[in-house]
Amino acid sequence: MQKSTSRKKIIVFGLLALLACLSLAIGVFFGSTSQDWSTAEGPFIILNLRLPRGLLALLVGMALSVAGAVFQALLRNPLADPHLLGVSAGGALGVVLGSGFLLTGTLAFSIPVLSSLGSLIAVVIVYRLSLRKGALSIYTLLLIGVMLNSFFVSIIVFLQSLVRADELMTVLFWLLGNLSFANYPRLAVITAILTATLVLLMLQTKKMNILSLGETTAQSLGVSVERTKKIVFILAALLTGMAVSVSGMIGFVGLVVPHLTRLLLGSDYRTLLPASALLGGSVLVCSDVLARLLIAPQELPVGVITSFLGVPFFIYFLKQREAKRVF
Amino acid sequence: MQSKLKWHRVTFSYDGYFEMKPSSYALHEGDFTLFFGPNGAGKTTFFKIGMGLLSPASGQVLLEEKPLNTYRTAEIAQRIAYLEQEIHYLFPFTVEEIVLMGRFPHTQSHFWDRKEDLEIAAWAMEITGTLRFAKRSIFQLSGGEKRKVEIARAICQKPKILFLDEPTTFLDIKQKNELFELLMKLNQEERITIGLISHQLETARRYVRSAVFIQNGQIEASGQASDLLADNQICQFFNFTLSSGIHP
Repeated sequence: MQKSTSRKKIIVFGLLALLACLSLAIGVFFGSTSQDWSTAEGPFIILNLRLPRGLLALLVGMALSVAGAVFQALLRNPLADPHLLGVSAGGALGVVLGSGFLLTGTLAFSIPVLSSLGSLIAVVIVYRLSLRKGALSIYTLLLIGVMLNSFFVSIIVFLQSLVRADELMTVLFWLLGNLSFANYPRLAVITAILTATLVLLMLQTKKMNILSLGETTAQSLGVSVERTKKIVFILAALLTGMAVSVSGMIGFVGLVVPHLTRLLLGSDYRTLLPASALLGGSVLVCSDVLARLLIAPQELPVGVITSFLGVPFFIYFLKQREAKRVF
Repeated sequence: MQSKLKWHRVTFSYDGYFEMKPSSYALHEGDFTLFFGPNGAGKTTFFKIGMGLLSPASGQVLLEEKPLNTYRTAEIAQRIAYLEQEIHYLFPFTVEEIVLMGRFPHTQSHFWDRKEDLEIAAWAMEITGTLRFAKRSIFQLSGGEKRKVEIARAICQKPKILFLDEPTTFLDIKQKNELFELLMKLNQEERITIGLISHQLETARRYVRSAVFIQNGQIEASGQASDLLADNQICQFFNFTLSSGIHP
């Protein structure tokens, strides 16, 4: 019995990896102009525009899906997503605040720095306010996070009404999700952070499984609950802040992909995290292709695509499964 | 006789609104003990202190004659398993996955399940009669089946002591009896010491050997189940009279 389960898991993993490669190929070879190696500017467009952009989409999709899956276990809430706790809004606020003081030309380059700074400050505030006698209270964390999120968004909207129109467009476009700021040095940094975070999270997966049964039961099973919650929160916040800093607030991937993965492979976080990463990466690469093509030569914010396609797709799956009482 | 677990004059207070007065009790190997009393009397608190989930304000807990606070969390979990009153499942884990979580305190691995763990999980499911739905999602099970899975998870810890907090709350009469039969089997055949909180005094007194009456954060009486759980004694404890003498 055990054997057939693990064989099924291996097959699904293989398919997911294949899907990720396939999406990346689609991302590289489909665009507003058809390109291949034989045309004059083909290699340049493929190597310096489409490939880094596809890779960025892949990495961001991975980071958001993993962060989403982790937040769902940590907050004991299947509806949790990476943007829930104000980490992303903090990053966005950093960008909007910074854009008020910067020249338009430098904005695109300084966005990651401003965003990381904003996210970091938001994480520290949420974390500090959620500590009670040294323990991280999940209810408080959820409440403070959601409140702070609204608070940041209100400031963002207020500031947006003050900045110049052209800057407003840059910032707004970035806020809704934008993968066009890809370059190789940036990709290298993201790959390093993502790999390190993912490895550290994989070491917490057994504990995350148990933590989803509730803190008392988890502690009675020998899990050091407080330490696990803190480690996991910091790592998921790091992933989120990083994803937002290079791509804005791409919605829905972090919520939907973990659930889709659960339908495919079950709830065990040991398989859920890597599988969510592969699926989330593929989903975002494909969404980005659509975002580039649908109204070409204009571009849509990729967040529009993920939400627009994600919602009906997800509801369909949910209804399918509900009938079998699995989900 | 050596005690498995001993509460020695433990006290506790929840921010002032509940107080546990100095209480002492000892569980010995092979005990099957019912802890009963009105809601809010401190039964669960007493259990939680006993397994280090709460630290007593004063007094001491001894596990196998050594102070509880000298054990690491995992070391306690290797010896004591605990079933909460109600577990709210977030995700559709399979029965086998949940039972395997019981191996956590014993494995050094952060990631893999050892062959030994899988075998013990299979044994735990066999004993509790849950092996036939090992691959099913916990969401598909009835209340009684869920309880059995949770007991399988608990005995997968290979504990010396098993604490259960009102395990029969959502069960019908048949499931209730099955559960008590299972507990008796674990107590007699696997030599697991059992501490049980329950309001099902009628059913419990057919199975348990000793009983502890807790009221207002204090142990009011303890002793043989047959004495403590006699009809007239129960009436006295809970301060009511029986008109027909049939059923409390």
